[in-house]
Amino acid sequence: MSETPKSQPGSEAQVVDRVAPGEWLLLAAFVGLGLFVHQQILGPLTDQGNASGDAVNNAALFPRLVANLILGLCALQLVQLLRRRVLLSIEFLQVTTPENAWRCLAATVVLFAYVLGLPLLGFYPATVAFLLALFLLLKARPIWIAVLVAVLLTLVVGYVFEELLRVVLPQGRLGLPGQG
Amino acid sequence: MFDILLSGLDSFQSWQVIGGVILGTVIGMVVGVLPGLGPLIGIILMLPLTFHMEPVAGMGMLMSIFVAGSCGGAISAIVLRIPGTPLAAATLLDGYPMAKNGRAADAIGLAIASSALAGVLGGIVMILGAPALAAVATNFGPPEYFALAITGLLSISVVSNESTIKGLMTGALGVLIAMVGSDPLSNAARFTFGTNALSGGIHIVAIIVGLFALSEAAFQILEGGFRKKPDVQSVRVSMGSLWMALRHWKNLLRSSTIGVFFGALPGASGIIASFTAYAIARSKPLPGDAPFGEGAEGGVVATESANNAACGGAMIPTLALAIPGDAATAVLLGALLLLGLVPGPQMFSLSGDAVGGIFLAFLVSNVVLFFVGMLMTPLFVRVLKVRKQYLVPAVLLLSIVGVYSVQSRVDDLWVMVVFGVLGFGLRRYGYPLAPIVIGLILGPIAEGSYRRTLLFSDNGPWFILERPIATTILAIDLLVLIVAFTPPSLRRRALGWFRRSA
Repeated sequence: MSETPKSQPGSEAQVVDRVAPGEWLLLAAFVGLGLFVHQQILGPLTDQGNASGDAVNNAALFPRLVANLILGLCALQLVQLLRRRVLLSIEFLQVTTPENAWRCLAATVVLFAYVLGLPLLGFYPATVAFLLALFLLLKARPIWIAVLVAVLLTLVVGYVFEELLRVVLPQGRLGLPGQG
Repeated sequence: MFDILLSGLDSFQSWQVIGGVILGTVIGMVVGVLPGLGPLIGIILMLPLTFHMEPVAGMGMLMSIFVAGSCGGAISAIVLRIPGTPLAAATLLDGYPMAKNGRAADAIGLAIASSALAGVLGGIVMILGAPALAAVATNFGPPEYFALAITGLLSISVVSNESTIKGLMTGALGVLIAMVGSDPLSNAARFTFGTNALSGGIHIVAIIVGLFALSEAAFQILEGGFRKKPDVQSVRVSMGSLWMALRHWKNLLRSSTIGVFFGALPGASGIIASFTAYAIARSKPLPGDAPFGEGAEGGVVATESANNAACGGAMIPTLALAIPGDAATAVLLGALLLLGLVPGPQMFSLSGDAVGGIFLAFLVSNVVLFFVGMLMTPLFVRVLKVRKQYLVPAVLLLSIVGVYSVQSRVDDLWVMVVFGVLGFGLRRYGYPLAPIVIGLILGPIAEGSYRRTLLFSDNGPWFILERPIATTILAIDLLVLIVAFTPPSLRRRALGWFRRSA
């Protein structure tokens, strides 16, 4: 944690030694969002003739208001950050180990891989692999129980959605076993 | 009251509705029992399923999760001294000492019976209050709707524990996300980058599941303790708990009233209600009961009746004015929209039968809660033994398949993942997520009302000031904002000055 709170007056913002880079990053993202809305209004919406006219035809009217509101709030937040008054969330204060941080990152990669592989491999093979990877990542042992739970959970979820709810789950394009 | 219930009887009388309520109650208890999940995550996980159900059945299931999830947290609070949800934080003050004194079954039985009784009372107030409030608002025009939408957007951002500025920023973010796609008035494409994929907007289910469920899974992994398996004894609850709860009927009525009041206030919640009810009950102990803090039955009755009655209270502004009080009711509001019902005063006139069915489902869910709780408590206690290493991947899988099932589109999964990463970042740095959901739902209402107001007033926004109700609501909003932005030291000085003057 890069921030050391000096006082803890309930849920009020706290004075910290150094503002975490993430705070600046999120503030920059919100400023970018406000500017992006203005760019869209001055660009595509103006080009299509949708950024002028009366209240019905002016599609840029409300977005402009909201973008200005965001930029105004960003200015206030900037003042808070410059005064080093920051609200430290429970999540920020949550103590974690480097090992668990890496686990979280690896789980995100597994999730990306699953969403990427789902249309290619199909629901059943991709889901068993996804669950097994996560179980092992989260230290599930013995491995045979992890495999069994991954297969059973996939079959149950697949049955509920395919048979009971009539959802067509991704079939896959590689001709693997379990693909429709 | 009876008219609206009778009109809803038809849509209520189906196996899908009854099944949805029972399933919702069981799921609600499970997510309530498991620390880290809670009713909000339960509602979000089951939200995609409602797409495949009738509106009353879908809402019945989600509201049952809301009701049972608010009660389930008491079981882990009593058995483990770990509240399953923040709502049960006050329950452990006397519930855990009762368990330590060998009365775990009594404590759980009391918690379930009090929750069910208070839930019914809260439901009755909701059935009386929501249509009355909606009737007042029936004559509202665009300026009043605009003012109400602004109130809804401000309420959670300003009143919640998080930073007001950050809450307003995420609320505005939600409004902007809702604008992606076709403009509802002029049909112009906005923020679509010229792609067809975004012309219909971004699906709210993918956004909500990503923001809440995925970010929660990430924080659960960061917390560790994957193989922890608490050592809990089996607990059987008896039906006699109902009489035990009724012995505290004054406490139950008083705490339910407190619960409904705090539940109906946007931004306040069942947590405040349960601590307030506990504090008052403590000053009025029942003769013969154990001292408070050492296993008093009255403590469990007060906290559990308050937090479940708050569910009914919270539904009053949500249904009648489309102003949700917290994240869970915001998602329920979103579910209403997804099921084809337009929340707010018109819903009571346009879809009266569906509203009646939803009211009945709410009442019945509290009755079902009692029986499910009595019969299935041993199972819910066993659920506590599920290890996080299996639970987190299972929650992730349900989230993914649920989002996919809504439109059978892998694109939605990418939306979910992107919002999951965003939700993680926002939560970590103290940006509340609930205002995003409110912004998503109330943004289009605010925009449509604002532009219609301008149209009626020849493009002058000051027309709003000629409408007394809209002006009053906006003046209150402004006052709330001024108070929220006043530095705490100045607020304390002003309060001191007022006290001295008084």
